[in-house]
Amino acid sequence: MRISSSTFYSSSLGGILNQQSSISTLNQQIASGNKLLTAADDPVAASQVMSLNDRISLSTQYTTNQQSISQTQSEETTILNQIQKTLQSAQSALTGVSASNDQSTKNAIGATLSGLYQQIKDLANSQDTNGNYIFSGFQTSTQPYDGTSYNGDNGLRYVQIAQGQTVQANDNLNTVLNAGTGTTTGPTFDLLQTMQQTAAALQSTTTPVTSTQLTNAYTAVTGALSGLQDIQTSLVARQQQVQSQQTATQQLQATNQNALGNLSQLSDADKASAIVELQMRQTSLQAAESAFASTSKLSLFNYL
Amino acid sequence: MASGLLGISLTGLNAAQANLATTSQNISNVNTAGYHRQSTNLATANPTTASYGSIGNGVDVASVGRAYSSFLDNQVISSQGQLSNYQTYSQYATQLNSLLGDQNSALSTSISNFFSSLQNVANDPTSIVARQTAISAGTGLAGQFSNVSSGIADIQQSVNQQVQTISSQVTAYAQSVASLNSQIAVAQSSNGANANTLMDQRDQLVADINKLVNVTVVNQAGSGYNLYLGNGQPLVVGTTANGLSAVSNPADPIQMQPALQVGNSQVVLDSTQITGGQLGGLLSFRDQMLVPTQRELGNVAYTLATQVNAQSTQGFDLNGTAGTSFFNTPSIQSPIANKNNTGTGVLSLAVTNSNLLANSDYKLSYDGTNYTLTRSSDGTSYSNGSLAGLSTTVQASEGFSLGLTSGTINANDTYLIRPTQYSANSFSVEITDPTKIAAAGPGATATVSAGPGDNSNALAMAQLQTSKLLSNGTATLQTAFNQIVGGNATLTNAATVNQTSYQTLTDQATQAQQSFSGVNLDEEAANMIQYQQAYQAAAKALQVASSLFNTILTAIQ
Repeated sequence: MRISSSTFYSSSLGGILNQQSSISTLNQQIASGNKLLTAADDPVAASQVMSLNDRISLSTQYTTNQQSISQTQSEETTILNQIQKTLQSAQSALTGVSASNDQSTKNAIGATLSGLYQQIKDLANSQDTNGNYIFSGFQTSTQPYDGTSYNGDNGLRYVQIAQGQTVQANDNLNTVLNAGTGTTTGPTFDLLQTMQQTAAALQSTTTPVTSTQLTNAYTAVTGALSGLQDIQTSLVARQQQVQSQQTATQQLQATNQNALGNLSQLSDADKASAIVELQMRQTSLQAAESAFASTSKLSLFNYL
Repeated sequence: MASGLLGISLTGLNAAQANLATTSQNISNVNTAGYHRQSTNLATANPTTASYGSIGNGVDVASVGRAYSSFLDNQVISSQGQLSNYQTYSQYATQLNSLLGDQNSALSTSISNFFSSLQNVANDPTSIVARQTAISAGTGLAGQFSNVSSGIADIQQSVNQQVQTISSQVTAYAQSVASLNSQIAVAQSSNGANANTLMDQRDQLVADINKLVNVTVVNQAGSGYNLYLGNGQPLVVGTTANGLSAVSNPADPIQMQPALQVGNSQVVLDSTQITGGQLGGLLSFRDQMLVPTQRELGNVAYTLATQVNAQSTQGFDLNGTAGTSFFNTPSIQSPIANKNNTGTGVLSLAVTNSNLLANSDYKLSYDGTNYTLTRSSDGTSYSNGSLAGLSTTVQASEGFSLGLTSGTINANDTYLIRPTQYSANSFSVEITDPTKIAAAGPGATATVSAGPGDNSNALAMAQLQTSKLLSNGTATLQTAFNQIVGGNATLTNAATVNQTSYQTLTDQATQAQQSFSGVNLDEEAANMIQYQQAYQAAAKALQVASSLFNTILTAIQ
């Protein structure tokens, strides 16, 4: 075939330029560690990468949510356990006293009961690290218990721990304390008022405590304990739900990260093959260049 | 003229000189674009007839021809036209692609960040820091939307400028072709010779035009090259060139469209008519990628803002006040009246359900009896005798309603409808006070009131991230955005593949054409020696003639 002189130059140059552009792409891939330099390099893999990225960022947020709620839950567990202990102390104090005891015994137990009342009230008014009241429903800036009434509401917060899965983030302690109902005679005892009044009666000589009062107080405390246990049981169940979801999210996250790495990043094997290819391209570039240098010297004009 | 041996030798000298001249012309033009190798065609001169037969009278220089094959040249021209089409397309596609970001797109990350920040508000609804972060994340998202949409507007403008530049360049080339047509006709008729250089120039101009816009060449004896655009619109007929200019698209005035001035009428050409060259690449990039991307991005922005707002206004803020919109509602493009409409009707449009909006433009037309709305992507159409009736149907199936604001609509009037085309441009955060985020829920009852610890509305807003709000309940905001990036990546990739294959085709065609028409210096060197020797031989014959004459002179002395 007849080759025109310009074709000889342009095709030699084209070959050299092609090799250079391949070398530059390989260099970028090796330097960045990424297979996909732009989405257009492999549109299918790129859209997989995009949806994986979205899922990973969602999972990351769910992990944050899980951490936040499990912290709240363990704070709540601690407080509920303390309330339980306090109630148990109240129970045993009430077991050890009768209306016929002498005044000094009744005074002592009355004082104990009064202290326990204060403890329960303080615990029920607990605040979290941000100063929000834990047991006042949605009214987190309002102190829920003042001893006579409940100033919170029944609002329950939910936190998303996985896609389509939310978990209750606070509890309604007032189903146990019944503050504000004012009833001291069951079946829904206003626990705080009952305790306060019983403590006062125990220490009073003018209106001494009656055995009915003591029985009512005992029933109120026992009822509160069992109500508290229901909340504790449900809290434990929710903690387990969060924990198992944490494990599941971690596994999912690892799987997604792995898939993302496989799709978008050069593995060690890829790196090795890219480096080998780079070497090969360099060799061909050198060959093309030296072939051009030596063949372009050939001209009949040199002999004229 | 000298006859006999002297005369014959002289023709030999002339022929060798002509050959040498052609050879050195070839050598000089080895790098000239569009040059076709020339060769001198020789013919034996008419012999002198005598009784014993005929004696030659030497050689005539018959003509100087050029190695031209219309087949090979046309192959180069057409593959080069397609190559520059895909080069332009892929150059702009790559630009748009990098604007949208790669698979780790900034906009996609911003959407994630915004919803994450709402989750954090839900985790701790009284935290001012979490609320402030949500506003910042919203502002960041708005910034990304405006970055991308102003980038798209820049590309849009650059396409418009290119259409203008190319149109005027094509006009200039077309005028040169027309003038060369007449020069060639004059040159050929005056001395009957081939106007090789002029023809080379004209062929090169056609090749240059074809890189800008694909033309069909008809070589008509007598009048030269006639060039036709698209579906046969005449660019050059004989010695007349028609001007190509850029005009506003009558249907969508923001887009510049090439238009050919034929006589008194102006023919506006679109991407279905202009399919090759840089202009073809520009127009198809705009129709296939730029406009759809802008529209779909607008759809994501509009849906995100209106859905978050709808949830936000149902809730209550930290102060217990009813919630306000989080984002400013993005603008909706009213139907654009065609410039050629005879009526004065101004239409209004309201999006009623963005989930139903199709990934397509719509065209509204009125034929005097019925109003018809056609979805451009698949031709689905709705017809009704009244605009209100049509609006009801369209609202139910396409998610927007139409109304006549003022004026009247005449028969054959048309409107272009792209509701969310510019929605991403006007995406911004309305709330500035962090306490105004409506995190508290709407569920106020006797036992529950909207307190500061209520997070239910924040949670509902955050959950919009995973709700399928677009494309008829098939795509979340992020999948819709990813589809935009993915779709563009696929088109960019296809354009690059096409560019590569047309590069190969062009290289092959050029090689074949050059193999026939190109100059090979070694060949010219060999020819030069050959013609030099012919010259030397003819000179030798002259010397012999001279010495024969001397012999006679000496003999008769």
